[in-house]
Amino acid sequence: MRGGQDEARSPVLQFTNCRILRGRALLREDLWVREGRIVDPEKLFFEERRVADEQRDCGGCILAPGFIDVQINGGFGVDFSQAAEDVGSGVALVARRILSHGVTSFCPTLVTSPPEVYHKVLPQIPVKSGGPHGAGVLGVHLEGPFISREKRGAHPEAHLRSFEANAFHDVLATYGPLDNVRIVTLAPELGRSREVIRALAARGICVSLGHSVADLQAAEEAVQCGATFITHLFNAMLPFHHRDPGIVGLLTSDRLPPGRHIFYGMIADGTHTNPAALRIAHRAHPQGLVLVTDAVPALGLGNGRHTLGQQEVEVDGLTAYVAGTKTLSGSIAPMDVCVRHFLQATGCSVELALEAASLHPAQLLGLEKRKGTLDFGADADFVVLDDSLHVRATYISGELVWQAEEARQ
Amino acid sequence: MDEYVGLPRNHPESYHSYMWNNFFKHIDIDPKNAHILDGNAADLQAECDAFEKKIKEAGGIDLFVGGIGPDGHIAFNEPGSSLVSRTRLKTLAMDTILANAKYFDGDLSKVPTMALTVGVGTVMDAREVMILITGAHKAFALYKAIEEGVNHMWTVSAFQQHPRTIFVCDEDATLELRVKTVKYFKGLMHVHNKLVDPLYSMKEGN
Repeated sequence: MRGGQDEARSPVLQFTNCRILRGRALLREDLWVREGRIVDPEKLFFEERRVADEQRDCGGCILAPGFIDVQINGGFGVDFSQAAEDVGSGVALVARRILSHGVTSFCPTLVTSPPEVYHKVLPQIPVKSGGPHGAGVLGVHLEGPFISREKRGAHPEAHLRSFEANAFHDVLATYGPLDNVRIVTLAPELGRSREVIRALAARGICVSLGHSVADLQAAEEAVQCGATFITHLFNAMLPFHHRDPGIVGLLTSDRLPPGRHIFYGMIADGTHTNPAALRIAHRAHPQGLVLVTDAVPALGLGNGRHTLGQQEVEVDGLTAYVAGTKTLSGSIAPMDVCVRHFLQATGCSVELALEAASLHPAQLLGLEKRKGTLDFGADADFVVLDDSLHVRATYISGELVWQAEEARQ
Repeated sequence: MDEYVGLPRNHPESYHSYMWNNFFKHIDIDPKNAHILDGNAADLQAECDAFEKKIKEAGGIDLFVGGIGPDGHIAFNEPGSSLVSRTRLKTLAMDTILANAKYFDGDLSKVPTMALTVGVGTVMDAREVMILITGAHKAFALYKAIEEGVNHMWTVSAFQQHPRTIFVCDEDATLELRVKTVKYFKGLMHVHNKLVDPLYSMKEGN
């Protein structure tokens, strides 16, 4: 806790004429910020007898917590899974460009790669706070290589691995040190997955189920061992069947540890999931839905061929395929496009659509006191949106880090 | 004018919260000019005395605005309060506690039982007083306040002896008054309008 003296000197910023997302509702309230955090104006009024030093008129816009993308493979030509010499500058470029999509924190994602790539790349992507330089890095998401051959999707078959021999030691040997790792996606039907899941969860790493042919029972056991997320629901897993719902059945399972529910990623780009399927998932379990982009390096670039992991990708309009096939290869829809599409496809409330991109991923990662929320004490990472949920401006720690052209004077 | 004792300042039912949410946050008042009794002060009586002192130092109250309870209380001057009382600690009447329970999840054990309040005498010292009374549930208290005598069982009746008090009521609040009383006051408005209109039309004629 800072000393009262320091705080007293820091300027207080008051965002007025806005609606803020707080307590699950859009309230007609002002947002007060000091030292990069959201503060309680009532406390300022009665205890410090303080008014704001600066007021900013938000033109009647919506202020939502900054979006958090927990699955993004690159963008703007940058591929996080490439063992480049300067991975850091690639991450920084993406971090800066996604500010215009309203994303204030993200998990750079690496697809199935050989151990050399992990050993080279991971140490170059440290956890980092966001700011004018770009969105904050919450940690890396490792999607693979411990996944199902049958459901590998766009992942290269040559680099798939198992941990049957040495369980967690195999994991460490493959990835190297796990300091910068935040999420690991694996297939729970692989031998000794329970030990691995427990070991990862014990280190505070979020374990996600995906690229898997697991049945519901295997999935439930994985959750009981500590798995908390499903990677891009419906994609790269067995389809829902009424006698064995598979991983999808986790949304309504009654065998989860008490007081816990499953979170699940959804790519709401209009391509990866039929709107009817999106609605089924949303209606079955709205509080667990996490919007992800699963964006590939082609995000933000035009049509043509680009690199993803160890493979080539073909971009055609709003869709990306594994070159020469009809297999989807990630999405190129920015996060704010996903939020709008999700809202329109499900007919859900604006509040829930915004929470799916902010509060829910924060809850998944156990960060909901500081991120994904506009509660007092949280980091002042927020996005200014018009009524159709287009991004007008992005703020990190109370500082303007991006602004739409029309908004600039 | 009052605050519960022992309720955290940021509790949604405290009068600090009420004033912040319904008034202060909507206007540009200097926080230094807002004074509310602290129900968590270490020495409650000293807090009350200090409040009286602050009123005096500010030059007295120009305008006191308040409502009344169904038991005719002004602030928390419950039935039986001295009509010359000053700011002090009061125990709340059972009726008041029961009426407040709905704001505390219906749990009587959560409702505050004491409050700090300005006294009847404190309010009588104000240069002008405006009391707002609306709703049928306040009608009987309004009757006791203006058609019966000054009585400490209906403390708001003390204002019959104040030189400059106005009671603003809606139709329902007058339900227990004599028809004659209501007609008299409604008639006053009519006479007032007749006095005012010719003045304006004279002005426009020029």
